[in-house]
Amino acid sequence: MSRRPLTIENLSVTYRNGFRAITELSLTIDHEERLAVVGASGSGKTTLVRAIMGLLPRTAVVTGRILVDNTDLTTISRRERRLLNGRTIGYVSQDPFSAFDPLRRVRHHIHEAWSAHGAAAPPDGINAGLARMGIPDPARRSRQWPHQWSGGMLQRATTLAATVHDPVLTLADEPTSALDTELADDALDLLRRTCSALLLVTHDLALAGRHTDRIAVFHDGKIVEHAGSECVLEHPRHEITRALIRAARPLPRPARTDRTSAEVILRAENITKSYSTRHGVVTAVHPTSLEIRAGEVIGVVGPSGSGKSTLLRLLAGMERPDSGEIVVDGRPMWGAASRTNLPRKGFAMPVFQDPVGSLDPRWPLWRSLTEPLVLAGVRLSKQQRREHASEALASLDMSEIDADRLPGTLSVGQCQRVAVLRGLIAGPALIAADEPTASLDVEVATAVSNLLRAAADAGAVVLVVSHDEARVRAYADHILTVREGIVAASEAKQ
Amino acid sequence: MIRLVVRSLAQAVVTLLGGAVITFVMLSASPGDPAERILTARGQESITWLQIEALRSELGLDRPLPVQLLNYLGGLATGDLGASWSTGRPVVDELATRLPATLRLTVASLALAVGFSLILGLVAAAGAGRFPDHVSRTLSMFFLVVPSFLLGIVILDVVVVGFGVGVVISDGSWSTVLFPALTLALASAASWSRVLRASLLGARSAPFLTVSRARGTTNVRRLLVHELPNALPPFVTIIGLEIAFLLGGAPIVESIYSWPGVGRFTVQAVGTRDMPVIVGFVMISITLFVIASLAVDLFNAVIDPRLRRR
Amino acid sequence: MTNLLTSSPRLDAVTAVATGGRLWRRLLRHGGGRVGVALAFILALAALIGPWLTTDPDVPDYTNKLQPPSGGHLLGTDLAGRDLLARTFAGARMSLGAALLVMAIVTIVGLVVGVVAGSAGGVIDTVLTRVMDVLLGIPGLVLTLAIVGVLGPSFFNLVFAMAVTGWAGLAKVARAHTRGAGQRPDVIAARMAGAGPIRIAFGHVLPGVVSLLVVAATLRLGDTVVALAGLSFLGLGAQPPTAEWGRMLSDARETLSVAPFQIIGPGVALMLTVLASTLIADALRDLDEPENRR
Repeated sequence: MSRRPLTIENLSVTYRNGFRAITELSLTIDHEERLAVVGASGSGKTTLVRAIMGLLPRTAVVTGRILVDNTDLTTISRRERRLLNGRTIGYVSQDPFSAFDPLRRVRHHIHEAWSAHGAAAPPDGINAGLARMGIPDPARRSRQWPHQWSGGMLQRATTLAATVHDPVLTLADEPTSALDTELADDALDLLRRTCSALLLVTHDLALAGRHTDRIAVFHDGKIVEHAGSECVLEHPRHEITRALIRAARPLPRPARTDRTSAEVILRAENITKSYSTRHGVVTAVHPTSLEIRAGEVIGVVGPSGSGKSTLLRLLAGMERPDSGEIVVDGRPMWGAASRTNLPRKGFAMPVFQDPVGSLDPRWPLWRSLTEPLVLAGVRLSKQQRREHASEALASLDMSEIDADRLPGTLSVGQCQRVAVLRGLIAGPALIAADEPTASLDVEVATAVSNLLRAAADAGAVVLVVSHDEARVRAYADHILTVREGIVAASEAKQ
Repeated sequence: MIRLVVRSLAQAVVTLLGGAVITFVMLSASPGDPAERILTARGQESITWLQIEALRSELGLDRPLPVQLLNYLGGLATGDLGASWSTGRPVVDELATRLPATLRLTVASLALAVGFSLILGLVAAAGAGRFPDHVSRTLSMFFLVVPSFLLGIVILDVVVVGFGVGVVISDGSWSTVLFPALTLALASAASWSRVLRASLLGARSAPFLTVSRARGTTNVRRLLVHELPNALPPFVTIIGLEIAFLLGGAPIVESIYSWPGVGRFTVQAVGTRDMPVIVGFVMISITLFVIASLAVDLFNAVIDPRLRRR
Repeated sequence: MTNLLTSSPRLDAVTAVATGGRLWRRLLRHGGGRVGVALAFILALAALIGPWLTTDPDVPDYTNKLQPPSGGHLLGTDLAGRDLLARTFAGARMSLGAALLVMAIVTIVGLVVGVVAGSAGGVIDTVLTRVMDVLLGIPGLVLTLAIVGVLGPSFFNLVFAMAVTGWAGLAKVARAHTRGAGQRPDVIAARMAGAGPIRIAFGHVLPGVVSLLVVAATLRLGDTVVALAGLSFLGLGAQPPTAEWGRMLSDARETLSVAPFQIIGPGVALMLTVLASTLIADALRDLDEPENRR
């Protein structure tokens, strides 16, 4: 009988409130095999990881068997469980930044892999391990604090700590969702090199395809599709799988044929912006000149801290440039006063990354939604405002949401759609969206980007800052790439 | 780190200065003629108008207010707090003889409060949701709800007089400090233990605790090595702030137990409207509070390396 | 980092809870909150109609000194033969009424000063903030003591002293909320849609600040009542023969061993007040937990 790293037979997990997170689940992982578990949030992926780790609340009801290296986890004592964790089962967590105790040095974190079981690290074990992970000067750097390390380095250190005992099975729970794409690939390559059997939980299908052998698609606590990675991605059989693939790879936009007559809405000449921080003066935007035409979606991409948000705020009139000029509709955007000189109220409207914060928590939806209309001069009674809001909600398939509700009772995805509606309702000429889909599920993100595209097709210009370059390229006309305050323009690929 | 220290010190100086100005305003605004009161206090039978004027001149009371303020501030810096209006003697002397007793009381209370709150808080968090937690929280709630003066008179009457434990009139020394310190400490201990419990439980939900569990650590190790240090900053911060309550509660407890400290002396001074003594007490309280706050800020910076890079 | 001399974490805990209008309803659904509100209601009732149900609390009756609780005197009588139940009710009126008055003044002053400092900025803000910081740097009870020293011991002076010293923490909260408002996404969106400063102030900023302060002040009601009682206990507040809880406890001291029942009325009343206040505060803090937000 082979000692398989992971065998799950008919596992069911029910929480105290009656919610069945996993139903009759069975799967196996063999040595040197990498399995990706993908699915929408709430599908049971995290519960699975917790069940294997023994991190479920005591009140959860677990039936079925989980065998790791031929030990049945459902029948052993808590003490025996604890001995398995870290030695037989390794764990890599979601966010490398928050995986470290901020009050302890990096070295302490890695050493805990040994000290958790009352042992001491082998002499020079930590330094050698870090060197293998590609960390320069490990002896000195491991004595630093986590906040002094970059995300990529932290990811390597925590992966080292997870694998020092050569665990039979390694669990990686969304290890790359907080990382840039380049770093995410690096991290997963690292995992492939250092782990034997790997269970990778991720929402990123493309990533799973590149780094795993098999993919299991979860939905409502069950596996709906389970096959080799390439097979799943290229010939998906289940509806859910197809939906996930569709949402992850947005269809390219059909070419537009009538672009030549678009008028220039905004012209920026040699605008710059700098900030003084405690480290001196930082130039967020170097002298930049551009033209923005109506009816276009312009994606602004670049690494974090590159100045893309600052550029967006300058173009939208949310901040004043230190030098240079912005001309809108023939008139300068900024006059002598500290307020902008735009052609009309609500000429430019924002969409923010945090949907919850962008709606006043004390205002019912109808008030937030119709406020731009009232400010633009449309005279509406309270009843009319309510009706208008209900219509707007219905237009986005949200008619089940009562216009009297408060934002706090909505989901994040619903809030963002309301926020976008609010931004569009008075027909702005310019929409400035700063990471509008960053906190959203894949399906909602697609809905929002469709909304923005539609707004552009109707004549507005949409500026979108996003770190999800792939998504933006699918619906933008132009791309502005910003690196350290320097802007380079290009056409979006068709 | 240096910047942190400098900023805290600057803040402390501003507070001391501001407090001094406020106390000066109170001094000047009080009814009654200081000179006359001091002469009476010194036991003079019949006071002539000339004597009053002479003393007024000596005390600088005939100068314009801004000059008086400067003299006052200068006096504070050199440790001259004026003369008591009820005893005639220098305030500094009156307070200095009684200050040690109050310090003993405050230090003992602080120690008891920190000790009890650590125990109560750790026990509650370790057994969260189960029996030890319930016991701890009930105890905390009880001592939170009983006002210190009520507790004091009950302890005094029941324990001291009734059971004959301890002394009724305290002499201000370490041997009799237990009951007064306990009375002063229990309410604070209750309040702090609740904060500690909350911050321990909060620290428990942090992601790095999940990672630590995944490495196979025991509950105890996690509690002491990870949860407690991360829970300390809010705990220590609340202690620093509530030292103000300890200082404010001292007059009440000292009065109940007849503890010969500056608190009780000040309460008597309020009765006789002896402003220089009251003002002296205010300045002492501010100074002690400022020192405690600096200590807390420093402690937090030592514990949390992220604070040091500012 | 919180600079100890200038922060007030007790009030910070309240920050997020006061958003959204369904606060009271959620409070009543919370187990502890329900008990707290019920207690508060009972105390308010005692203060309002209690005195009408009992005899005059101030009239002495030396033939009936120090009677233990009985049918005629449910809580007994004190050294001057006065009915303790009546005095407890009268004390409720004084203490709770005074505490409400103090909190009302402190809230209004804190609101005005905080909003002015937060919206004006510049020199005005700096000066006002320094004043707040200095006030927060002086232990509250100590400063109150001092002001009573200036004005003379009386209940009115005590109330005045507490009102004058207690607004700084609330002002800081109001200032922080007002200052931060300019960066809030919903305010930025409103400004871009064309809303002027007045509309933003009254529509977005002020409702939140007022709600915040009212909640914060309510939480301190318990502490205020105890402080009033404590200083009256020392003889620096209510003067005899006024019925006030702290005063009653002080009066009971000399005869405590022969008539211990004297502390029941004021003692239980004080404890119930603090209990109600603490339970409500705990409930509000629990409601602030992330699982109740998104």
